[in-house]
Amino acid sequence: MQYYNLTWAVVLVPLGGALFAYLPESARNAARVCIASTAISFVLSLLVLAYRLGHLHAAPYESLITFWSFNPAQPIGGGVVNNFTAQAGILVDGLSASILPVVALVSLLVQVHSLGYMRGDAGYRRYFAIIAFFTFSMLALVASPNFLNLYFAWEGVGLGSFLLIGHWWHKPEAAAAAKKAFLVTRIGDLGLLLAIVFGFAKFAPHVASLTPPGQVSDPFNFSVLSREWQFAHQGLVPGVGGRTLAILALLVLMGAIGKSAQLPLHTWLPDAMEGPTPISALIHAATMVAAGVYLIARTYPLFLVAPHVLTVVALIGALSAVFGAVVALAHTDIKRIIAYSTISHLGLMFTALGVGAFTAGVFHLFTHAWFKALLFLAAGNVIQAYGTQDIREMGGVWSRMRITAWAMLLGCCSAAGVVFFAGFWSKDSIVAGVLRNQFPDGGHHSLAVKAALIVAVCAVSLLGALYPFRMFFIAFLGDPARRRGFTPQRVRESPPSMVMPVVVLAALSCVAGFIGISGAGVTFGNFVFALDKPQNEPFDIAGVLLGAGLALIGVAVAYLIWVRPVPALARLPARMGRLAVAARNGFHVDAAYAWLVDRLVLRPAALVPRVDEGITDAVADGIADGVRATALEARRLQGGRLQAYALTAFVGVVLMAGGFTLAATGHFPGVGATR
Amino acid sequence: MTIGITHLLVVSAALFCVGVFGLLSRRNAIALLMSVELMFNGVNVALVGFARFGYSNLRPLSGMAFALFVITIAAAEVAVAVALLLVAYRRHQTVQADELDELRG
Amino acid sequence: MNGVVLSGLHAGMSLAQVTPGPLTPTPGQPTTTTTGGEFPTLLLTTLIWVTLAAALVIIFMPERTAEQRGRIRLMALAGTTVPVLMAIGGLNYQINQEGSGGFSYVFEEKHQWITAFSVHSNYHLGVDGVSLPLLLLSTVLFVVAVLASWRNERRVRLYFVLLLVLETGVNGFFCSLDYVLLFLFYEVELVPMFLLIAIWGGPRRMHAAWKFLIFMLTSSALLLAAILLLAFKGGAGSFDFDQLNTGLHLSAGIATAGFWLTFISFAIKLPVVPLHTWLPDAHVEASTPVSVILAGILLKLGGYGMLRVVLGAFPDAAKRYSLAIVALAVVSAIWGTLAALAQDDLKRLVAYGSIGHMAIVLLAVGAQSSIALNGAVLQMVAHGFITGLLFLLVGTVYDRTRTRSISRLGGLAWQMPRLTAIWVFAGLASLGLPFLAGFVAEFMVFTGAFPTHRFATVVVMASIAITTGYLLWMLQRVFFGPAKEAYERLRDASTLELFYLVPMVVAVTIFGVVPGRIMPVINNGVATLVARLSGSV
Repeated sequence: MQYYNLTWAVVLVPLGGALFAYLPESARNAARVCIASTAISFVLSLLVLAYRLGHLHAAPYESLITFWSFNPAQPIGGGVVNNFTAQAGILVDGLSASILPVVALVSLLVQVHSLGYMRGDAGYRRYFAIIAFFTFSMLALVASPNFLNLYFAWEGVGLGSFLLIGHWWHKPEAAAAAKKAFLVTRIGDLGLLLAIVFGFAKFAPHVASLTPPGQVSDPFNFSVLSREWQFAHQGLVPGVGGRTLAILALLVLMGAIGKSAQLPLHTWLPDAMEGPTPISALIHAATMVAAGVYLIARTYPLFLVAPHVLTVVALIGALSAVFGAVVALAHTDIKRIIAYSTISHLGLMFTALGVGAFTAGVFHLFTHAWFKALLFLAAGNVIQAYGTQDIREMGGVWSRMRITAWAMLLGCCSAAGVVFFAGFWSKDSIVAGVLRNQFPDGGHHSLAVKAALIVAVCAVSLLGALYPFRMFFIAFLGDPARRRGFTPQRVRESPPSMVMPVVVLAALSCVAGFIGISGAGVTFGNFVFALDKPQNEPFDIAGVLLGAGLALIGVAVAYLIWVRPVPALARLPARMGRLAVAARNGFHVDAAYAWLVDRLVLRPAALVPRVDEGITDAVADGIADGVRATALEARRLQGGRLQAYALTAFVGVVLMAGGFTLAATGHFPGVGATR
Repeated sequence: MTIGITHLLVVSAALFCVGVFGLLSRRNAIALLMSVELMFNGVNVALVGFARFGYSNLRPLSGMAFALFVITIAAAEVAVAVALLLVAYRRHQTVQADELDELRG
Repeated sequence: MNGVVLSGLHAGMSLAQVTPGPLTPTPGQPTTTTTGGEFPTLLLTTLIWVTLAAALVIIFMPERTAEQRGRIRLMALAGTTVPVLMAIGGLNYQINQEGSGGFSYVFEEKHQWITAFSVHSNYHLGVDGVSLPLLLLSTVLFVVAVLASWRNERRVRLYFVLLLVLETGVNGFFCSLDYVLLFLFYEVELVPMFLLIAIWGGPRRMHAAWKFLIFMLTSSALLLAAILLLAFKGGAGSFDFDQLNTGLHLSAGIATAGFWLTFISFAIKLPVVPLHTWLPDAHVEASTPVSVILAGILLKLGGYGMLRVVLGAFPDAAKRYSLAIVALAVVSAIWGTLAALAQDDLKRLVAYGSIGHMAIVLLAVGAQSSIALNGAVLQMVAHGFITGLLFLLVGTVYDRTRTRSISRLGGLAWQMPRLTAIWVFAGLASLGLPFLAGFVAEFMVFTGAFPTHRFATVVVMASIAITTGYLLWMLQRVFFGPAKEAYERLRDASTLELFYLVPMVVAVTIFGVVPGRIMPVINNGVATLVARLSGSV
């Protein structure tokens, strides 16, 4: 048990690094503090993983502290929630133990890379401190034992992303991109928050009723909720039926979509490329965007009892995957190509989870972290050496920056799913999963959905090999483009701090896939699985042939268009001109959103103060004016003229005297004669 | 014909009404004072009449005493009023009642 | 629809168990003091009146030379610091008490006051979990306001006298347990505020000050009518909370009339759309420290009044009209946040945002559930600090650039990096980022309100997206992007400014990271309210 408590250190040490970064005098020492903290975290996470591997089938371990608890004794639905407790802590199971080292290592490598990439930057210290804070948040997210903890970390990660995308805040595009990222993900986050609130309303009374008095039970806790979702599926939770579970799952999905940049909340990710390239590697490839997938994996029991939502997950994933691949094919900005590639791969992960291939989805998360970070960091090397992000202005990297180019090649192979690379194993297990179409608890998709998914996955396999190699062939081979102010002879390989992480990631992109082979003793499938026991998703030969075959075809087509142009194929890009333009604009989704926001939000917003002034204020002013007008009228009585006063007084006296006389003589019934 | 209380009251009322009419319709402030004097005297007639014809059993002749008071106070009041009018004339160069309206609200 | 279940359980639900907790009331008259009995009971009297005493001293201090003015400032600072220490001491003591049974007020003082009429009034002071955090907020914000007013050179003596008298009124309002006393303190804060806006305000200050005064006087008039109704028609023969807020059964007509009178009265103060139009004008025209007090504290008088008077004295009527309250909360939330989005004036933006934030308090008042009311109290405290911080920051920008127009500003992070960092912090706090005070409060309100008012809660949550939008947009326009030459010579935060900004930052963080210390205290206060609402008192 004690070993697992190391996870506390894994999560908290980077936070300490972020805070202590402000102690040293020099910014470089601050960077070293952050790197050291991340390295310690990584080593500890490996220890935890090793220990967990030794106890493959132990129950998940939780260590919690209560940081907020009171007794509201509130009646909800038909029950009473007597105690409201919010806990923070760590959860160690196969899923978290395998992803924690990934996050830590990618963060470490990115920080090392940034030593060189961000050299001389004005905000050097702030950069590293925020990366350390982001690492802490992401680790906390992965290790979260309950929804509240996850939400805190979720927003923390979003905050880190916001601050880092806007690192060069003096660039208006960067500031705008940071704002857009935060805002779009926040819309998804509201879905997640609503899921938490909704879940509390539905499940907390039941959880409270099942808790023995004197004990504290956290209705946000994942293991508690997994049980509750099962109970609900069996109809044992009052007030919760299939529809509630479906809505809950959809809301969680909304949060995941926002964070993982899936359709329709994907528009922030390409813009986020305004941030420094290492940040793109860390946040927008390997970690933060993976949080959405992780969320679905963590709450998978909920999705399993709401199978229609799984269909939605799969379809959204498939759609995003195809969308991302198509758009990536049309861009010339290297970072945007890789960004859309991320959308595509995340879509694949969503598809995997949606068809019940839980292990495949998480495995792709694992491998994707390596090769996507590799792509970004290698691209960063080239961007810095060449001073441009446009692939048409690059060229000739192969002969000048051999190590980076090799690494990029290996990364592209992995991303494309070329045989035996890491990406191949994970991608093809997804293809296999789609073909098999079987949920862990026995359900499956309809034939129509399955067909659509197969088509999508095939398209992605093909295109997913086409665009990385298009990028590689145009940017890395051939001769450097001629540009004003650019001397190709000056291009050197990047400094060691920038090359070393790239090499490490390249190595991982090659070999990390082998742990996914089923049949061996300790494999990913035995370690990370849905429900209680490994699913033993079989390795489907048909899937392998399909996926790998399409990938190789894609590579070949790319070769034949951009390296040794074959007339028939070389005309293709030109023929697709209009489609390419539309794709480059993201199929105008952004523009559509801008129009929507303008019509639905900004215009009514402009109306509101006008209504305030025109109507509400006018009413208040009107009342004030009415009072004033009455006063002015009444003022006329005070004319200052003596005779007017005298007349009024006289008339008044006459009336009074008359009245009294009449009353005294009995002319008013009910008023007695006074004398 | 015996003069009774009614005759005296009619005279009193007539005097009073003439005074009121003068008060309300004359413009000159001195004329207003004269009208007010008329009103006082009208009241005096009424008071004397009540005393004369025995309308105050408990306090005989109290009406006479009251009338004497009224005369005295009327004199004092006229003195003060004329003094005020003098000051007002110095300020506004007029004693027309409708032009003395500084106290308007 | 899941309505609020009165007694909490249905018989025959075999799955549910009863856990005896603070809901089981002690029958009969509630106790007056069970905890804090040995603590000197002059704490509240001292806390309230020491500021008035300081004001009286300042009246006699000359203000001709700079040194004399400095002495006045120090006196004012001393006068406001003493209540802070007392409030912290009181809260600390209460936190360590760990729950008192839910019905008692602590630090109570009760003396007979007006006995000549058929309806008696007592000098009755006391605090509970609802008012104690607000008292802390108020005292701290006044110290901050004094510090922020340090550079003022115009009519220094009068300024600080007014500020101190204002504090007396506000603190007294939170501590009052008698309606006459409550009303007295409610009125005390009107004239100083009017003068503060009218004398030291911006170009349209007279219009704003008069508008403020008239709206507030209307609120007072309605409140007075309700108090008189309650005291004279309630049949209890007293103005005291002990008689009127506990166990009183009013006829339906009186309850409804009283409810609407007090609700509208405090709705003007909270403020609730459509009675809110005084707020943007008053906030914009008031000087920075006065806006801090206005937004940070005066709005909370409305919120506290809603909890203490509307829910405490008219619970049955409040339950009957809860849907109306919730509807108004939704309208206010959307209205305020949308309006903020359209503003060009920084101060107006924050002011309209306040309307949106206080709408969350109103949502809790409408939902009337325990968790939501806990969240409401915390939201008032959090919003006080956060919005106070925002107004202070607007003041720093205005002092340097002489403009509040977002379209004219830009790139300020170049010249003022530290202030920018604090601005970003304040913006994130205001949009409800976890780890900061706003999130905890809002989360609890949503969790508490959702079971009974789903649609309303969802809409109010959606308004948070709009809040995120306008805050981030404002930060981006004002601070990021290229530098503007007009602002080349600006200086970053001075020591004095940091002196009052940093404690606010710390407070916001503390309430966000460790709300656990204060939650049980708040919960005890709220439990009384909830018991009253569920009819068991």
